[in-house]
Amino acid sequence: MAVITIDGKRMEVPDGRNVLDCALDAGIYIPHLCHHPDLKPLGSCRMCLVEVDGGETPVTSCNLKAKDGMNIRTDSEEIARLRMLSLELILTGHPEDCSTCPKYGSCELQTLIQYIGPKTGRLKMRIKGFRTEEENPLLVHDMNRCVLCGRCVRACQELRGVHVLDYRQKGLETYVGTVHEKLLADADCRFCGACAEVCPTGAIRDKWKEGQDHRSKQDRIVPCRYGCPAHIDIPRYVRLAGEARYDEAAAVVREKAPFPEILGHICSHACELECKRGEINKSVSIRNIKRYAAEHDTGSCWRGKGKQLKDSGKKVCIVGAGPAGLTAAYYLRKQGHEVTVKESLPQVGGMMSYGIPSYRLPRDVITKETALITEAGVRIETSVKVENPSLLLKEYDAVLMAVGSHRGIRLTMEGDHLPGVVLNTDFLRQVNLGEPVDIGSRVVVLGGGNVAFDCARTAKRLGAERVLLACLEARESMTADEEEILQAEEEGIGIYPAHTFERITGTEKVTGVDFMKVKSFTFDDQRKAVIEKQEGTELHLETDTVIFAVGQRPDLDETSGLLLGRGNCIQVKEHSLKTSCDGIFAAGDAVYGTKSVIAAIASGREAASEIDRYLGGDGDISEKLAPDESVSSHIGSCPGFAYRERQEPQLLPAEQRVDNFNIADLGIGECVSWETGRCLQCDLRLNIAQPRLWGDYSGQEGTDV
Amino acid sequence: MSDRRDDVMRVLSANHLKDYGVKGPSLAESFARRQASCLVVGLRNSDKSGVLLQLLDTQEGVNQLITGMESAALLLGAEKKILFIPEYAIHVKERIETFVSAAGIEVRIGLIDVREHEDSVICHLVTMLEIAECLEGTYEESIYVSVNGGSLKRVSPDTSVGDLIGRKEGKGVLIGNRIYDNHALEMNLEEIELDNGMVQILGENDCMIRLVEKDLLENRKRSCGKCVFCREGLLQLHAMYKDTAEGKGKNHYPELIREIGLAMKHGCLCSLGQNGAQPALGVLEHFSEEYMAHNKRKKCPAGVCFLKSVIYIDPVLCTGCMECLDRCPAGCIEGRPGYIHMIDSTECTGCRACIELCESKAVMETEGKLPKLPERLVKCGKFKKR
Repeated sequence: MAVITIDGKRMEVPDGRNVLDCALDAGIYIPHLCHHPDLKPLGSCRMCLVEVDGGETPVTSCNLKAKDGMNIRTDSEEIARLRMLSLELILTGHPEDCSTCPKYGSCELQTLIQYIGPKTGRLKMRIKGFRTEEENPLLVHDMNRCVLCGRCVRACQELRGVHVLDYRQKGLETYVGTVHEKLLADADCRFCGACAEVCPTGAIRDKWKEGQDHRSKQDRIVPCRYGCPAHIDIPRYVRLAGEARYDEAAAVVREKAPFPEILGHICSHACELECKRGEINKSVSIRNIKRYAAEHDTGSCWRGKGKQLKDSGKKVCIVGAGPAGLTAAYYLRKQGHEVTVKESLPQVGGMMSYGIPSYRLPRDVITKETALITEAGVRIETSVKVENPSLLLKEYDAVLMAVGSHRGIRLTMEGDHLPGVVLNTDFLRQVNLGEPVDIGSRVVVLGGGNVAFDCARTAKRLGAERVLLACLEARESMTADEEEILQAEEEGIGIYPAHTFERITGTEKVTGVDFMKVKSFTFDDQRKAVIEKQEGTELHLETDTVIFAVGQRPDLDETSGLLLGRGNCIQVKEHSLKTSCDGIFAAGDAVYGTKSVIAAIASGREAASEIDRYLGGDGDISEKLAPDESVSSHIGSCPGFAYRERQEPQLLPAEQRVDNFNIADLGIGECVSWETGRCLQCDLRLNIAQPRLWGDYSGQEGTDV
Repeated sequence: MSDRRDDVMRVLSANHLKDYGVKGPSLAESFARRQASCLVVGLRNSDKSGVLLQLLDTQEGVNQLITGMESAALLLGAEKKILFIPEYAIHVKERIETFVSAAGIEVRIGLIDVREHEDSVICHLVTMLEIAECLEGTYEESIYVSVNGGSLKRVSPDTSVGDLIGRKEGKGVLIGNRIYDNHALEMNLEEIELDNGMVQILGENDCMIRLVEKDLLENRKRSCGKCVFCREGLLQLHAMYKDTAEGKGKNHYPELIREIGLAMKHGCLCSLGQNGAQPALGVLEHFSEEYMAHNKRKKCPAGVCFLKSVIYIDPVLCTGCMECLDRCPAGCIEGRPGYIHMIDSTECTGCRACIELCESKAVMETEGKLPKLPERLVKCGKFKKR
């Protein structure tokens, strides 16, 4: 340790530490521009000049090493003059108009101008005349705004070890860029964003996607984590999976969601839609990485660990053993409450067991992962139908309605009640219950979402010879996942997008469906569908069975005693999951209509937290299961990084999958390490220290002299 | 090994050898205090003349360089040895590379990046040869110097500048990066920082403003652009000197030149920036009259600037050879083979390329009245003066 004095303030600092950081930490502001706490000092901007006793001229404090007995002054006439000159020189090549700069208001140079004062106008100004480079994904380079502080170069070279950015010269101007002015992808950029993070001006900045402005900076920087309804720490588990630490990776998923392997099979992966890698070529196959990690998890990291508060003496009843109900049950149990789940169907899992076909989600995976809920001490009663939840309040302190949406919608049209017309939910439930279903040899499915495809592909597997699927939406706006559509086509399912359902024909039973082609399909202000048909496009398809797959609703009515709202969903109070009846809460599809398993899990967590608070707890259900390690900021170079193709999962050929309900998607297997290597590791950027601005110090001046 | 190290140290210490151009502690003293993994050797970054590289013209010189670098590396415990050769002397690299790389010395082209070599020890090339001489026992304190770029001489440090250049006329001298007036002729070489071994005599016809303007532009081209004062300071200084040379100088220039020049001296990390403003400052100090003549009165005492001279082709001497026509960068010469060539003086940039190349010495320059010239193409020999 060394004792130094800065502006009369004595302080003990580590021997050899740079004086600038010593001062900033002690609440003494010294202006600086090229200095960044995470980067090696450069000593180029000359803003951080100080005078040291015994020294002839002012020296830069960023590369001045603290020595015992040093007496330092951060201001003098000469220092002020040199700072001013330096700032003026920097500004000679910088655009004079701040207000048109996207960095306006968060620019470090701007705050320096405010601190040091306006320039005198005695120097020659110039326009550097660089073209703004907007061809790159994710990043914009505007070298006219660059002040050559070299932070980005150091971040790229020293901090990240990527070595893409360097000082270059064009004519007599110095700028920062890639070798031979290559595009970033061709220069093997890893798009970590460190350059944009450390840039003090608007020279290197992020290209944010439209409509992301309302998000916090953190959520914009790591959009996958934001996109996940449960906010699973995706970059962290992808990194751990990349290190073949699958136990730790699965534990990270478990910090937010109790069913990693189920999610690994069927998650609707909103994260992948947000993934920044998608701007470069294709998003990282996050779901398949999760699946691989979960399949190789031995549980060493989380089993028997995590939170378990002592018994609270409170009792909670949860109606519905789907993902929302089970998740809420699991976390409420961890908060110390006695939890009973009542499920009307014989098996737990809700739509995971009775909606999603087993060729997408093997039933042993559900059994294995839901067993954990009972292991945690939750009581589950199956085949118990709850008619009136308010009666449960006599026995329980709180009730959660997580009944899902199990009632299919029957569109009103001619022939809609003919024998041979079935509803999506009924059909899938019967199949999954193992009940015999007579669908004949020809099936037409009406609907274009994932459930419609589940119905069509299930029908195919039950032996239907000809399965057709028709929907109102055009091919490109069908709501089903692309992979579902492609796989269905491979399995020989005929798809008729942009068709209206005119009528179901037949007298005794269904004989066919009449369609017309859709010219345009839009929604009006009241969100009502407006359909324009194309004349003379009448089409008749003969069929034995018609399956309505046009949405589903909660199987509830007014006898439940709860206020129901749009789409027969349980009404909850704003920003809350409280129903109209005190003590009764609701979560999952029953609240917001059909969404996804991960949305149900997120809703279940929210309900657990809210119910815990209702029961007197603190509502904090967060837990750390995987070790909280510091990660290296050095990602190194990786030739061809931007061109690394996404690994698609291995899929059984259509002929091997159409006659059975075995899992068809075999995951990405050993390609997992390749796929984890495609991650941009956007989260590393959050570890970069934030600049310390003059404004952060105002009000502190003159303290403790 | 350590015996050898002690030997080298003893020899350096006995000879009081210092790094080239350094006034401070001796090499033995500073090496004794420092260990480094890398030894970097080269010229000063501010050295644009490269005359000291003549020392590597002989095999003996190259051998001495290798011996010197090996010995210095031994003292420092440095495993890595790098020799920097300036970009303008790339041919030197080509000539010596095989030889020195066999001795484990890496040769690089360009400026020495002092930031990259923050933890290395940087020494001058001349010092390495002197170390070798110390070990051979032939070392004598002396200074290598070239007058006007001629071959390198080795002289005693107490030689006066006047004795060195052999005459006392001329208006000043450029010694290293510094400009002096004739008073410098009385000075001994050891009193002057001779950072590139070059002494240049400045005659009455040398315009100091033009000289500095060119020098500053040269420095701008060489600057790595990392230090603000070097990058932006040189730009401002150059712009001001260019303005001054063109008669567009402003009143505040001298003060601003001094402010920027002094800031550069202390505010840059390598000699290119630290010495880069020296000529600009030297002119203000020693040739302020000449500077002010340009700035205030638009007069050039050396008779270089503000000349409205016109270049023309003498219709009698021209042989119609097409040489000047083909080589004029501005394309302002008209003519056909065997016809008298003519210069369009509104297009002429005054580069004088034609004057230099004309074998018949037919291209003339005048500030006075033009003689009668042909107005259209006339065959050589057919032009009638009258």
